[in-house]
Amino acid sequence: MSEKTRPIHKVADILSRRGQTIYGREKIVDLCSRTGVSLLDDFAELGQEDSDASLLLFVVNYAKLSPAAKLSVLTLARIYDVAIPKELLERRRILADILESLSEFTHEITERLRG
Amino acid sequence: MERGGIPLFFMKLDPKAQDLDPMLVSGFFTAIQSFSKEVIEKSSSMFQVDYGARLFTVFSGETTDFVVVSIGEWDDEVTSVLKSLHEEFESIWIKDLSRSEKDTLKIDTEFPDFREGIVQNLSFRKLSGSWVPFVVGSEDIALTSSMGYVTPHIDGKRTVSEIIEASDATADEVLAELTRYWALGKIKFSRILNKEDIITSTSKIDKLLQLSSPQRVEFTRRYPESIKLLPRLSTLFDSRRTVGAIIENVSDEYNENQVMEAIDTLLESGAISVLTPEKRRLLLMKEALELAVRVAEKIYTPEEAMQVLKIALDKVGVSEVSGVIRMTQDSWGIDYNARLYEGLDPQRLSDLYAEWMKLLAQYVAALNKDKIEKFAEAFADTCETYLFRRYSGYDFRGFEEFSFWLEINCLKAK
Repeated sequence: MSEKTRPIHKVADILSRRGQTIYGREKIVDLCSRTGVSLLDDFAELGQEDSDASLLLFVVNYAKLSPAAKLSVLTLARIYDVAIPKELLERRRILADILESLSEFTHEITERLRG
Repeated sequence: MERGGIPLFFMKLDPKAQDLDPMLVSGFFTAIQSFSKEVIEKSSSMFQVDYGARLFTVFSGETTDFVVVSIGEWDDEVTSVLKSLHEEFESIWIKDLSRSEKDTLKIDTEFPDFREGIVQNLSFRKLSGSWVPFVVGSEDIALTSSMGYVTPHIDGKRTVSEIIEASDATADEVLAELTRYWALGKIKFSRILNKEDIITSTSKIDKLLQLSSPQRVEFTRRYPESIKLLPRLSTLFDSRRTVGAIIENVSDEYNENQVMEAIDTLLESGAISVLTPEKRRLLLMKEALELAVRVAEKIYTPEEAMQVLKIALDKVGVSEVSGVIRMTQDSWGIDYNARLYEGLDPQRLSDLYAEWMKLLAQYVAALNKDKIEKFAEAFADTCETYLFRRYSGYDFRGFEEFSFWLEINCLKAK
């Protein structure tokens, strides 16, 4: 599979671009260097050298920027079919009564709530 | 289709794309033509319009335009295949047709040899093993086939997997033949719904519920078993419940097979339909708004959550959006019925998606920033437990815009 179509690369690439407009270039450059990815180094060849593991690390750390950043990561991961790292799936605040009332619209959600 | 949007040929490659019809495609095409004539006439011979839910690719030929409607990412490899099929269509199949011949083409079945060529040239969405093929009409399809691996096994009861099992041919051969029959309109499939599919009723269901209607009499005669389930099922076709949720709901009285059979017959008679990709995305936005308000009720106060909803709604000028949110002095609710969208083209549905997005964006922008991070955290968790389990990656396309917006709003808290 070519670099361009690697899903994790796509997710990281979108986050790095959009992240710059949200948090400022400096913050994203810093995040890149901390996680060892070269996303922003060369615009002509974005992230060609980056391994899946370091891209994933970048994505996981992006999610820690804010609770909304985590939602962006979850959404992009779903769209591009990237498995979401377990550490992002720890739910801290489940509003059980809201979910309970919605359970009738989706099958098997009651088991999910328990699990 | 001809320049000007008159359809000449129509073929579906995905049995689940029930809503797709020549009128929809031609209506869409007329719409783009009106705002981008230059694009179509002058520049490249191919262009694409991404509606989020579906991708429309248009090839401009000598005398006709070829519109390809697809889901998911475009595969560049098919571009040349499609171009050559389009050329073949123009240079062979319609070249010598007179005006009156063109006007009387049966666009769903004409040019069977060309249809077979298309099937051979394009790989299909895989047929699912749980689907049940059945023969359309009384024509003996075995006579038209040189191979006939599967014809003795198509009895309207056996699934695709069972036919593969029963046949001497390989799975690939069986699938290829079934696909070919389907493309030629000789067979159809039942049991094509997944448990994740969401069902909505159409106005035709009303006639089936009216005891004195001729439609009900006819339906009762043909499907005596299904009509028994109708009273319980009818309110469950609420444009929001999944097939799986409906099965669970009536499981005290009916088993899965009985429910699926009833759903199949109702689908076939047009009394219900499956939410299309466009409508699923709209439903996702509605549910996201509901989640946002309900989470805000907990993080802020119910009064604040409603106040903010009023502020956000005041900024929406589109009745298809504002008209489905019910507000009283001390309560609110969203009407999920998808009948509102009957007859709307993909362009309008795409506009409505943008309007819902705006409403959701206005909502979080109007929330007090002191607790916005708490709100975002709880909202993300509720989304993860509910929305993410319910919708596919395709459904989420576009939703990231909201999430980025929420990120910006969280920054304002700092």
